[in-house]
Amino acid sequence: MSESLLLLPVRGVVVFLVALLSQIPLLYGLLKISAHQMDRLGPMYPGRFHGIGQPIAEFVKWIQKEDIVPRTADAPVFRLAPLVALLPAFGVFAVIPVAPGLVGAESELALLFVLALSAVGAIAVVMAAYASQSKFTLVGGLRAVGQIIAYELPLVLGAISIAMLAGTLSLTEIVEAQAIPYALWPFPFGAIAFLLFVLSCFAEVLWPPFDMPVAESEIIAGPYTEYSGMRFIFFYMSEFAHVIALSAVGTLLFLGGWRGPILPPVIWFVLKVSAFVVFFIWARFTLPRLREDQLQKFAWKLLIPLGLVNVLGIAVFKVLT
Amino acid sequence: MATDLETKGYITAITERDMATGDMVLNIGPQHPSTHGVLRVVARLDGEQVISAEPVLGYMHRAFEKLAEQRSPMQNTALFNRLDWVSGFCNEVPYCIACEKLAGIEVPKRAQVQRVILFELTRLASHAMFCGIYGLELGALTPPMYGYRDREYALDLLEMCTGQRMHTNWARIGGVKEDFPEGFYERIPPILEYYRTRIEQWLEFLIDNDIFVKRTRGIGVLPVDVALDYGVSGPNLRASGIAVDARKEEEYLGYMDYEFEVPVGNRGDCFDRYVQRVREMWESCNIIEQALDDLPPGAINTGVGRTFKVPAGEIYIRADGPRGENGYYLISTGAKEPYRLKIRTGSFSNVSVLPYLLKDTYLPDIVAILGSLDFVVGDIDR
Amino acid sequence: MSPSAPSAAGKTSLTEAESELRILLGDALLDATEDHGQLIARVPPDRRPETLALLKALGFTFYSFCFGVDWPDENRFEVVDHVYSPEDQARVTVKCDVPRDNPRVPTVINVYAGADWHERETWELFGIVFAGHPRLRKLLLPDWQEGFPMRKDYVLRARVEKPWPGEFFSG
Repeated sequence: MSESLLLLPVRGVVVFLVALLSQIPLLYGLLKISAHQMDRLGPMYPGRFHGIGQPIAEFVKWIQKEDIVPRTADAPVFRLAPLVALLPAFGVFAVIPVAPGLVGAESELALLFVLALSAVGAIAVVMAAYASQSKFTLVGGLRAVGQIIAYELPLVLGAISIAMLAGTLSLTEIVEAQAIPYALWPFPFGAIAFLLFVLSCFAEVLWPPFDMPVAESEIIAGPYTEYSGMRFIFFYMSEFAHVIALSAVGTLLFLGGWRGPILPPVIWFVLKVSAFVVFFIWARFTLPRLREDQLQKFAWKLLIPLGLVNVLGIAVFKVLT
Repeated sequence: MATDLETKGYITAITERDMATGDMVLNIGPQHPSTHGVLRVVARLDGEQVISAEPVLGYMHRAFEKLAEQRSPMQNTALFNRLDWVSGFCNEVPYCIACEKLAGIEVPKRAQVQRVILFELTRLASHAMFCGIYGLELGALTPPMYGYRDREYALDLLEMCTGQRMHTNWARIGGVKEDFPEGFYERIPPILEYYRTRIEQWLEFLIDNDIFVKRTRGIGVLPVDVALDYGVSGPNLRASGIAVDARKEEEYLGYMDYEFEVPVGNRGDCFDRYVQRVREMWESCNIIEQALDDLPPGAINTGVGRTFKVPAGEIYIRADGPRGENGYYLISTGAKEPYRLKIRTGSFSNVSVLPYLLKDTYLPDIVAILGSLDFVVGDIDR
Repeated sequence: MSPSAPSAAGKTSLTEAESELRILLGDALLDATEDHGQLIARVPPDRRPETLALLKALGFTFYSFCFGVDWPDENRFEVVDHVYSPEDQARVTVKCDVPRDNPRVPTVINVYAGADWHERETWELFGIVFAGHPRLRKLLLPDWQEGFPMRKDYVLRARVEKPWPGEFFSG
């Protein structure tokens, strides 16, 4: 008991470092993949070898910018919003098992914890939007909140479908429950749940095609317009952390987590999460954005009924088998 | 309040009073990532719905008409490049034609054909950029890169010929400045091939995309009679369903000798305006090919000289540029400077129809509609 | 709708327009000449809306522009409208003379909605008041601008302050 208490701060620091440092390859991958999609090269000079030092250069650039708080802004809320965005996004990493036994904090309710923390990000966006005292941020913030709330439901329904099929909310046990060959949930429940989960991931992190709240061509940077320097980057770091966390959860729920032949489990996990992340980046730079009302219609009229039907189907299936 | 209480009941009346929302006036611009320059749109919003929107101009007014009254024709061509800077050459040509017609100067055939080739190359460059930029208005981050890459090929050709990419300053009264350099003809056909493949790819890339179609179909519908009333011209007018093209209607630059179609849209929404410009790129490629075959040997300028004075008279000459109808009403009293030069630009009339188009749309649609009109602020404000 | 050959149809339409204008205005039609492919009709200022309404009914539905010209020696402004018929490919220019000390002319915004911005621009550049225009305020110029820049007696300050290097090249 005392041993695990002593190890607790160490685990906390390790989880924090993982959450922070995993963003470096994500940022580099984003820059390079998007560049090659757009028929250009991307960063080439920092770090001498194909711009591999670019993420560090970006971090250094942002950390030395002036921290501007608008005079009419609500200063305490304005300053607090980035932290409220960042900490839950990092907190999700605590319960994600990378390999059997290799997890920050083993929990029976890991999936519930993940879903709950993902939703806290909405509060941060509203804080940022209202505290900035600007019409552009207000429009962006309201769009963001509407979108996040609308797409929480398909996310939860997709995850709950898998939890029902596996019979547990613990992420480790869900991976163990995925029968051989790896990651095949009974059709069509698994497929529908996967679809809901993936689409909701885009909407939760406010990435195209669901990036109306941060629509650069209309409302500049949406709720983050008035931020500068590290506070601005905290929002984007929370977005990236969210992407990685949701990709990791998606791998655990659908792709079989760390299961795979020959290679050690950690390597398999990293490969699968990378595949997910590459898919997100790829779709982000290809698709235009949906208008807010089309986005909401898509969620409320299509995805949520589909999710509910799916959950009902799984319940019937479970009772019958 | 008393009547409300009586008719609706206490709870409803209180709820409506406390939950009532108001209109918000949002200033889009003048500094904004997607108003194509310094255009300001003052939008009155009810949540996301636009009640009314009005453009505010003048942030880039440079008093071209007054400046033109103090400049000789050769200096004026350099000035008018800066009107619609995306297609620089297209602004010089109508002015030169106006001076030539008043003076009765006959432009040699070779110069005419060279003007046509450069004009259509500039149109290709402008429309290629539009195709890319319009994706950016809607949030697709990759098309602008492709659009700029395509534009580069046409700009390379312009640079090879005139030394300049945008402000070419090449047309002169009586013809063009110099003959095409060596190797210019050989470089054009492969580039036309490239543009033809790219046009097919543009048609697939965004038009087959469901999200793009949903964002542009039925948005910003411009009926033909409204368009004619406001003087909308160019691809915007043709997308609304009527084929008005100065290239077919005026006898200038010898366009009558070339066979090309004038594509026409049927609904006049943003989608039609986008497809219209893609199809016009195809026709431009056709025209350039025919013009290349048509190039006769001969002089490229009748040699007018610096002390040329435009004879007295008045004339209106228009050309069909990428933005719309680009016309010059020249009133001359025999001096070398024009007495009064009215510059009629396509973008000014196109943007004047915005209050009509932007009623009862959503906030994201403002950007989609602004983008589809394809204006340049220098053209509006002169 | 494909456009037909320009000249022949255009000419018929111009002569038709001229005769219709004569019928409507009679003696008020001060001048009607065909010059360089367009019909230039000179009418008194108060007949401007009627003339343009007639032209619109005749098929000249495209409102191209409206501008002003300053003739200080003759102490008048000219208000020029230019309309076009897409079907017949014919062009008509309508000119009105207004005195320089009291330039007022009725608006045609009820005939062509597009005249709105053109008239605002002409007003702010010349000072010609378009009677009946609902919102005659500055379009291109800033609010603090005084005077009417396009008038011939408004001097370009840049020319006064220092000699213009371009003078050498303009012969």
